[in-house]
Amino acid sequence: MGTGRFDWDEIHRKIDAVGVAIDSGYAPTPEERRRILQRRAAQLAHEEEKEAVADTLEVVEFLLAHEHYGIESHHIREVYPLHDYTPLPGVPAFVLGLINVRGRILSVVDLKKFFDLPEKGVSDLNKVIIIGNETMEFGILADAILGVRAIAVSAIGPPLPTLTGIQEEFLHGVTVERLVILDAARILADGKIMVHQDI
Amino acid sequence: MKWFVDLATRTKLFLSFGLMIVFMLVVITAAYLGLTAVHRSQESLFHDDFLPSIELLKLRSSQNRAHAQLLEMMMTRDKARQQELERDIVTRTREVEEGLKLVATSLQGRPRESQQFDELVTALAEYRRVRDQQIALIYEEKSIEAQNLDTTVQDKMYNLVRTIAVELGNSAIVKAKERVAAENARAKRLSRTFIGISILVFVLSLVIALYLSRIIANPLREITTAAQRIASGDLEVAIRGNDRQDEVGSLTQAFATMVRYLQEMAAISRQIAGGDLTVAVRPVSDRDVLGNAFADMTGYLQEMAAVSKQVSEGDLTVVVTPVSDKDILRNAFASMLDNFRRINEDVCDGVNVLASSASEILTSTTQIAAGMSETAASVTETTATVEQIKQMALLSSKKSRGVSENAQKSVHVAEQGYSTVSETMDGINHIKELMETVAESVVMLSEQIQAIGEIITVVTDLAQQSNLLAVNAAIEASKAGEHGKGFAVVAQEIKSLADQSKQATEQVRKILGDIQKATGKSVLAAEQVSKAVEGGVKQTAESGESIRKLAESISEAAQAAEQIAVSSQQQLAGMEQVAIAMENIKQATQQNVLGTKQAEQAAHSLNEIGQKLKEMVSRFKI
Repeated sequence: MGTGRFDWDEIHRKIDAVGVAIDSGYAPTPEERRRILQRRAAQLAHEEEKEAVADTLEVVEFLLAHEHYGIESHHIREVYPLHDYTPLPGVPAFVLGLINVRGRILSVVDLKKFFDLPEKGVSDLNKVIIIGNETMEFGILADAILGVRAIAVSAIGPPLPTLTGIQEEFLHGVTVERLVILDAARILADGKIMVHQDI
Repeated sequence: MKWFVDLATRTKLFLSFGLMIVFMLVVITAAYLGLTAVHRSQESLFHDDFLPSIELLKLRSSQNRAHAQLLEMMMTRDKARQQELERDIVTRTREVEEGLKLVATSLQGRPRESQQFDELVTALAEYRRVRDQQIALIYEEKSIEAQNLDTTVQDKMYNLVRTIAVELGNSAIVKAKERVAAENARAKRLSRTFIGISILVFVLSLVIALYLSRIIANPLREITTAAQRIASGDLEVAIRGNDRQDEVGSLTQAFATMVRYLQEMAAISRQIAGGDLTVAVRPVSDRDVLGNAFADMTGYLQEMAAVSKQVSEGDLTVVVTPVSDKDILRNAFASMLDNFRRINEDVCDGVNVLASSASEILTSTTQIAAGMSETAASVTETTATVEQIKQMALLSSKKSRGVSENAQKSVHVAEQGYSTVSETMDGINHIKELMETVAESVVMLSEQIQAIGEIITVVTDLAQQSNLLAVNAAIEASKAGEHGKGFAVVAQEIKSLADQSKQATEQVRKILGDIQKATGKSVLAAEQVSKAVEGGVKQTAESGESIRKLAESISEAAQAAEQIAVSSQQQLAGMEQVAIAMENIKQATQQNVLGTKQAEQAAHSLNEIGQKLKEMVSRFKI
């Protein structure tokens, strides 16, 4: 297989270098360390500027079939991984099932059914955002949690005029970054999401 | 003589024949008169001269017989016989009397003879008287007296009678002889006169006949000759006209007129025969059969000529109606027109076919011509190629000799190669073992990478949980309001770290995936190397075998090369023949090209002819 000159010496040298690196443990080089610090400094400086803006809305941003949605963190009790759920027969399709959160039995609602979004299937990677007020408490199924963000109220525009019915009722507004803000208070107050059905 | 010529031929003939008849009458009259004169003179000769002498002879004979019977009477005694004799004597005496009367009449006018005759009569009377006496005596049977008487008287008387009678007779004969001589002379004269008259009449008749012949027969003969020449078709007859007023003159003039008429008709016929139909034929009269026929014929021919002209101008719509089945020309024209129409249609069809065929032929010929040109070019190329092949055959002949020599060298090289192959095989087996070691090491490496992957999964899970925890922390911080702000920053930092951990694990996972792929490839490569080495061993063994076979093949090849050299020589000879053949083909192709060009021109001409024929045919109106 003499397709060319093979530099065995070079290979030996590289393997030795790798062995040394593994033995001594990973440590960033001084250059890299400085770069990381600079980036953090820049981020902190940016945060400072943001704080100056008055009247913000703190939302938890999550994904529903590649669309970004947000819910006011004020209404959120906690975010919980969807480990296993129990499907519930005899309920509408938007009710995914029941979960056990530290001893509490909560129902999980799949908002994708309301917004006519494509189903991705449910896995361990899905999360449940638990919202509630004095009377109601239930989980909303999310594909992924992206984090908590503070959004200026002025940046929130009205929802699209073409939306009607439940879609329009549940929406608070849309930002310029196409983040759809859901009105958690109205969802909690709305009767449509309740199931009163005799079997 | 003009007046005679002008007379009618009948009158002329009457006159001529009348004249000849008159001549004949003269001759006949002259002959008759002559004959009558001869006859009369013969009559008178007979009566006047011969009759008396004959009668006198008869008288003498009767006298003699009577006297003899008287004598017999005297001799015989028989009475019966005497009577019979007496009767006979009486008869004789009567005859004598009759003769005497005749003589007496003939002797009238002659005195001397009459005197002698008177004497005779007297003597006879005397004799008879004596005789009667004697007869009476005899009956009285006195014969002797009677005989006496006789001797005395009777005998004298008898002699006297006889003498006178003889004298008379002699004188009559003499006279008759004289008369005969005179008559003969006269007859001679008469006959001379007659002959002269006859000759004269003959000559005159001859003259008249000749003259008539000249004035009648000659012109008729001329006309006859002319008529015969006309009958034989010769109309160049010159008829001399004359001013004769008779039938011959009229005949000549009529004949001349007829000849002129016929010549005129002949001239018209010649004109018509010469194709000139503009002649106007004017019949002389309604009964001018020939003229009318000529006029009809000319009209007929002019009509036919007009039809022909129309046909010649291409108008085939003319209708020719034959008068009868015997109207050959019109029938022929009708059938000709019919045929022309049919032929024209056929020709039209044929010409269309011909025209389209000709254009097709032209197209084809043009294509063929192009094809032939290409063929010629190809043949030229082929000839060049054949020449190259020839050169190559020469070259291959030489080369194959070189091959043969090289093959011998190759056999030695192959033997060397065979030993080298054995060494190579050992080396390759060593490589195979080393490669197996490499493969094992790589597999171990792969297992260790899998362990790292499991650890990384755990790290990822931790990062996830950290992330979620950070979010919850942030939510709790926000609920804590102003007091939770510091915690919110910490939570944010935790989330950031979790995210970074997650990214790092992702990178590690990716790298591990790459390593996994690389090890897979390495194993695969080692396997392939191993297989290749095995293949190499096998191939090397095969190479050894091949080299051995190659050595054999090379020696076979050397022989083959030798054969190729021979074959190449033969090929060379064959190629030369091919070259000659190609040259012939080239010439033939050039001829073909020329021929095709001619054919093209011919097709062109044919096409033009077809077009022309089409035009020509289209000129006919059907």
